[in-house]
Amino acid sequence: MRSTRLLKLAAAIAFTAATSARADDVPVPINLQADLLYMIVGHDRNLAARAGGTVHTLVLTKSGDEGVRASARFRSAAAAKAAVAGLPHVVEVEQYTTPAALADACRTRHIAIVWLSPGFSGAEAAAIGHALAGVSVLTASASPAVVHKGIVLGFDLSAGRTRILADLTQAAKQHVAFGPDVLGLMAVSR
Amino acid sequence: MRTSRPIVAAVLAALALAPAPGAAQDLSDLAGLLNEPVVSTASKSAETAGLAPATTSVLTSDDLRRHGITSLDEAINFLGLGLLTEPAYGTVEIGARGVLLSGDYGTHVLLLVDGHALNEQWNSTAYYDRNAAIPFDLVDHIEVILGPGSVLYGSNAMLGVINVITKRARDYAGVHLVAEGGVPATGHASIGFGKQVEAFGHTFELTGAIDGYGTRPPLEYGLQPFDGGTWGGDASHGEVAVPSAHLRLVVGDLDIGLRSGLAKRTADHIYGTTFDDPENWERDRWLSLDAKWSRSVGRKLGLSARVYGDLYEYFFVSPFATADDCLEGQATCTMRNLGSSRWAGAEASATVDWREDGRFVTLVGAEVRRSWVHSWLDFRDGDTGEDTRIASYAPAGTTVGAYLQQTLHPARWLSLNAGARLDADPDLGSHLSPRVAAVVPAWRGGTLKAIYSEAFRAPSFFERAYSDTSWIASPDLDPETVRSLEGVVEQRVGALRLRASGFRTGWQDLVLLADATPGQVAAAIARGELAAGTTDAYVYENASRVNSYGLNADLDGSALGQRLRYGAGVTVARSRREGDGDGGSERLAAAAEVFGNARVSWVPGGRRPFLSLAARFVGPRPVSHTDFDPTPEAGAQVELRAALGGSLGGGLGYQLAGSWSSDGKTAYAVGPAREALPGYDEQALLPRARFQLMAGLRFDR
Repeated sequence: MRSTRLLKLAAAIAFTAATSARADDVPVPINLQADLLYMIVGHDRNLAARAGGTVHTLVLTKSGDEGVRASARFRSAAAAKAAVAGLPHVVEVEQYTTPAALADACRTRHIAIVWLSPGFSGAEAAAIGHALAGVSVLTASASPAVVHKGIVLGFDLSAGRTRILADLTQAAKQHVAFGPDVLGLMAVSR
Repeated sequence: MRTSRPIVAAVLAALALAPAPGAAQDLSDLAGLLNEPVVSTASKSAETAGLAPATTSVLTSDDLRRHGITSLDEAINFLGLGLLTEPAYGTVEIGARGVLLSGDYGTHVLLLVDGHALNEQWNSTAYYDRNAAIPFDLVDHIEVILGPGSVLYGSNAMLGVINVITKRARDYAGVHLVAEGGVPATGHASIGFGKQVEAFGHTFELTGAIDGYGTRPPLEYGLQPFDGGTWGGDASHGEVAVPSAHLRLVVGDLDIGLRSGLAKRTADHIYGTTFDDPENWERDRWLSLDAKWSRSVGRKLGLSARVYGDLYEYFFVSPFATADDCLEGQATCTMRNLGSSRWAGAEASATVDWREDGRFVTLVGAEVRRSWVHSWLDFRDGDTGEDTRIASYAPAGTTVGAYLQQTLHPARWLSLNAGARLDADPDLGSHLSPRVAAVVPAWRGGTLKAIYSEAFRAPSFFERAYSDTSWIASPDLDPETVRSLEGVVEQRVGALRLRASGFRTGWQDLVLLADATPGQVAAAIARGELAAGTTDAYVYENASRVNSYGLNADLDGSALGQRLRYGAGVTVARSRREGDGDGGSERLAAAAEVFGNARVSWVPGGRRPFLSLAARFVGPRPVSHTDFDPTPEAGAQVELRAALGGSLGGGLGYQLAGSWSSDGKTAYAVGPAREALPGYDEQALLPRARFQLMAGLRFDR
């Protein structure tokens, strides 16, 4: 009887701990993500046209401790890239509100790259992907889990090495066109 | 100070004047970054290996599969840098950078699985081959930290830390069946699974594997005189059987691992007065549970906590056919030895990212562990069946460790890591293990690294508490310590990574089994530990030192869209032991001072087969466990292995792997004769299989 109570208590603690944890994770160090992302964008044929003279990166944060923390690290790493693909580079940080607001911001402010902090759910990623269809912008996520749900790029760790995930269907919808050489280094889904 | 400013200025100027990369160079750099391992063992946070505060190698599951490698020793020897294993009595011994302490039961390396220490608490034993009982199909990658690692991990991390990371469910989804067999008689089967589900708004991951391995290689032992007859010849009962299981559940940031294993092997080469006797065997059993949890709290703070518990048991049976090996009054006997340990602990740590950008991060943590040990040694009379226990002890102890690590990235060209761990034990006192590392990405693709680190090994319960009719307990042993200074230069050229390092280590207070002095014997008799009239006895002492220095170098890279992978590594060291009684310095038994490996693999993709070749070289080393004078030397040795595999469609795959060794002998003496005798002038060495051929099928669905 006593052991049953203990088991129930342990299960309750485990479930409480699990449910209070973040649902997402960031397997690849943020600095490395930034280095990889800004190497990759140089191979996007539409970057120059999209950027219009200056590459704007939007760091999209989600409420939640992990997202805020990762965003700060990414902003710091991204801001160190004074030039991207030979163009001046500017980093902005904004809290996520709605997919429509994001799409509007991308259109009106010529955002070339949107980096999503951890914490976005699959449903939110799908809504963002849907809203950005037809908008020329590259989306990348700190978390690999949302790549095939509406985000173009993500970073995962496999066997101790970084793997770049790319959703080419979503890329085409957002006018992102990578060259074949760089695609050969990615885990691509269509 | 005056000289450093121009150097810094020159480095900055070189960085500023570096030409902007072209697209091809950029692509090459991208491939190089993807080739760079990401590690988390050296500082307990994810970082690229180049920035880690230690010389780190990563042995990936891709490489393991390409080379047909299914055990830890093969992975270390063919893919690693700086570490090597030597086949010994029923298992392997492990050494690093020219230091191998023969007979240490693997206690000078800390072996982790997903961060959980496998070194048990009775004698700190860990195994580095099949006997580790790790289901290898579940291994994602293996992080190898060369050099002292006590700064975050405490005792045992003297030669290095090996952290075996298992696969997450997303990388091991579905069902995985492996069946393989080969010659000499070997069989291996594994069933694994991985499942990830979304429920209650959260992700649940479950991975697991059950693995069984067995081998019975026929070996020929050199003949030697014994008890009026001979010992040795063809042995057919040598056997190793290792079933194991591993289960891992990840829910959000809660990560629970459950592991069990058993390793049983014949042991007539250890106390081999009976030859090829299947009743002479030893067995290890493990059961462990580890639960980790971590999460961010606020913008600056990360918290993690861990609880764990382990059960371990070692059992050894050795029949003796002669009265000389038995107790007085016994004509024949069976020696039986039990060593068991239980331990449980908890660890909590906090990470403070003061500037919220990862540039100034403090890690502070504490761990407490309680251990219970029980061990005995008895002799069962072959005629009467009566047991006589000559040694029995059941101590317990508590250790507390606290660590602090500060990482600082003041500029893109400088990364600093400094930390220390204080371990305290009421019976052993306290010990501080510091580490300081500076990493300077000094030029394009190039990194300089300087590391100073210390580590220790607390004497085991066995070393402190064991005593019998001719063995005095050593409760006052001090911890063994090692200090290491290391400089590393690393260069990345596209997808090729080159690394070279120089090191110097000094080992103090190494525990050595010594002849007790007449004074020690008299004192033990006075305390009632030895029988009156005893004249000869053994005792463990902090009696030995080792000095070692040398070089490591390795390269690894890929080409042709990562389909071609290659790598090589070499270690050249000079290691000398002092203080073991003869006043001089001598080479370490079974420790090679030159060793290395090279490998290449080709994976064309699709259903076309992959191919791989790997080679390993080990230089000459003194034979271990022999009293021949001068000490004989085991010759240099080359091992080759080749693997071929591919897909048959429908989730079915095949693999062939073969290996060949230039020498069928190890560097370990074998049999009862360990010194020159009339008609016996060359030490017989423990044999090993020269050839192995394995063929297997796997099914992944």
